[in-house]
Amino acid sequence: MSISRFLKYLAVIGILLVLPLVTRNPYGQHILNMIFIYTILAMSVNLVFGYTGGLTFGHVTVYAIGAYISALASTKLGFSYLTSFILSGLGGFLVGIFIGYPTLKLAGAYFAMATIAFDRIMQTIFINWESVTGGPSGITGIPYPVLGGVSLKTEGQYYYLILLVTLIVFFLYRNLIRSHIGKTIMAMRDNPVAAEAMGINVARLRLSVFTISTIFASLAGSLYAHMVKYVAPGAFPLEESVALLVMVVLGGPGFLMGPIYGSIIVVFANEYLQYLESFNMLVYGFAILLLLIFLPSGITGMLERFKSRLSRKKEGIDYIREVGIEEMR
Amino acid sequence: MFVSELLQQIASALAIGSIYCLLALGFSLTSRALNVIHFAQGDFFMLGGYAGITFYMLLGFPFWITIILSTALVSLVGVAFERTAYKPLWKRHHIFLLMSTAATSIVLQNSAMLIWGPDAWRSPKIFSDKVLNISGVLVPEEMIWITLGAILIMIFFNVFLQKSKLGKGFRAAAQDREMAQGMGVSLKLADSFVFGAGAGLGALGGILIAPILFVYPTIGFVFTIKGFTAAVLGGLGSIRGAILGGFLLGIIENLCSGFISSTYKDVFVFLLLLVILLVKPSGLLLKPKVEKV
Repeated sequence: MSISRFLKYLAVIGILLVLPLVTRNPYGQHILNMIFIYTILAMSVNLVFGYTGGLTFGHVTVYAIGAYISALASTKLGFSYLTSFILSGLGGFLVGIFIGYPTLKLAGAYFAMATIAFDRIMQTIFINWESVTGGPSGITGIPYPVLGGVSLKTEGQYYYLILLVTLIVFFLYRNLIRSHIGKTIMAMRDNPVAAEAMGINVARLRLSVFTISTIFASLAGSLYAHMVKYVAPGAFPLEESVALLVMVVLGGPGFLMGPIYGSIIVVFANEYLQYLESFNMLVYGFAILLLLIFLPSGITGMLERFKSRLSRKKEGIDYIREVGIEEMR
Repeated sequence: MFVSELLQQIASALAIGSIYCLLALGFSLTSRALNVIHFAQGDFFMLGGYAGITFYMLLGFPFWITIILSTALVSLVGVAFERTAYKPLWKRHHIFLLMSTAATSIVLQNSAMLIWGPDAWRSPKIFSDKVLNISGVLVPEEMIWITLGAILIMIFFNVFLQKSKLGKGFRAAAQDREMAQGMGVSLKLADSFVFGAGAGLGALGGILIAPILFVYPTIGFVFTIKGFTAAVLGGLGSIRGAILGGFLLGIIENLCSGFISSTYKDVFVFLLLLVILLVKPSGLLLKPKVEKV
């Protein structure tokens, strides 16, 4: 890592550390925390949608599962914060294996339908299995996190824990994409048959990436549960999955920084779209349609293209595209 | 006792099963011809239901004009989305097109909410409300009409595809686009036909079932999944498979809700979908597909 890059990271982390001091009202701090949680979620969706080419509607469900596991472990079973956090990560891993193993062999649309079916089944379980999940009213009284004797009572204090987790997840995600595995993942996305012929174990790689992404989503759920101290099925509708996909597409699917830009914009936009009441979904729908036609590589893609035009270097930009036999010659 | 109850459940499943057939046929059409799963299939069903209610109840048209007008209108909506939203994505990664159809579903759902409001609408009785008693099995007469109507549509559609010159051209385009184009089939027309007919089949289902079902803006979502399940059950892309899958799904669903629990009716369908995808994604009638380069 060069010194200038190190300084850049240091500056960004420094800004992030003082950010909660700027907005002292609890509402602003809640928004700030939600941006980070959604950044984790958007990164996990980007791994599946942007890097492996699977349209997922199930990540909000995994997020909900993580939240419920953490809530149950800390209220009914009385585990400490750290244990319940780790347990929900473990839950995300198991869900990833269980859902990923049968479905990831399937082509795009089958996978998308399977995630929708999974989401509906889990919603029904959350609502109807009242003795465990508390039914439609959910689980209340989730304790605030206590870590090593330090209790994080307010959202302003909790911010630092969320920041820490987000940074760790971001660096894991970045290293995964930048490593040789990342290149393999993209090769698999652009032409799975050719990738298989080159000796990539497509099924196993897809399953690994999917499981990593479900662990991230589940951890985000745990963070959310301890922040709002209350989980209920109504907080995890299918619409949230659409919002996550908007984040990824707006930011740039298959780009490292895409989910971060996307989640910042969508969380802020959502605060204003609330005034439209139920019609914010109409805005989302049109946003996806227009983005896919006019800006399929999102904000990051636009920036990258702009940058490569400025520097006059013909750098390869990794767009999502299907590479057929014709183009491979 | 058990047998008569079983027959009763199967008889009352036929009407809804025939609607699943129409939806599954739409799925098979788009997937066979263009390898696209149209996520908004159920929302065209919803639009059809609303259009039927609007023309028949609010504007007072006769039923046969209602059917023609609403089907034509919804087909046009389907073609409009194909021309504006799907066409530019044709050369890109397939996942963009898939996502675009999902976005279409969201747009249609919320537009319907804007136009007709979030409450459920019920169409007035179009067919007679008599109940036939066939040796102990009670069958409402309107269900027979719905089933017959759906079967008639399927036969007509099949004959069009098999016998007419246009239909043969469209089938050729589904097999080999370039060759069909060389033989003088307009691909532009064929593509529009696929999406228009898919939307129209969904809409016909909606119009037919509206008298016995409440129509609300988000109803399409469940019907998308059920139609897809029916299509996959029989074998996605096969017309016979769609018809078999539709009736089979209707019967399975009704048996599950009749003998096990009716609150979890939809969950059985979702579980069934997961099980089919797990065990035999190519469906009952088709051989497993080998992907070629």
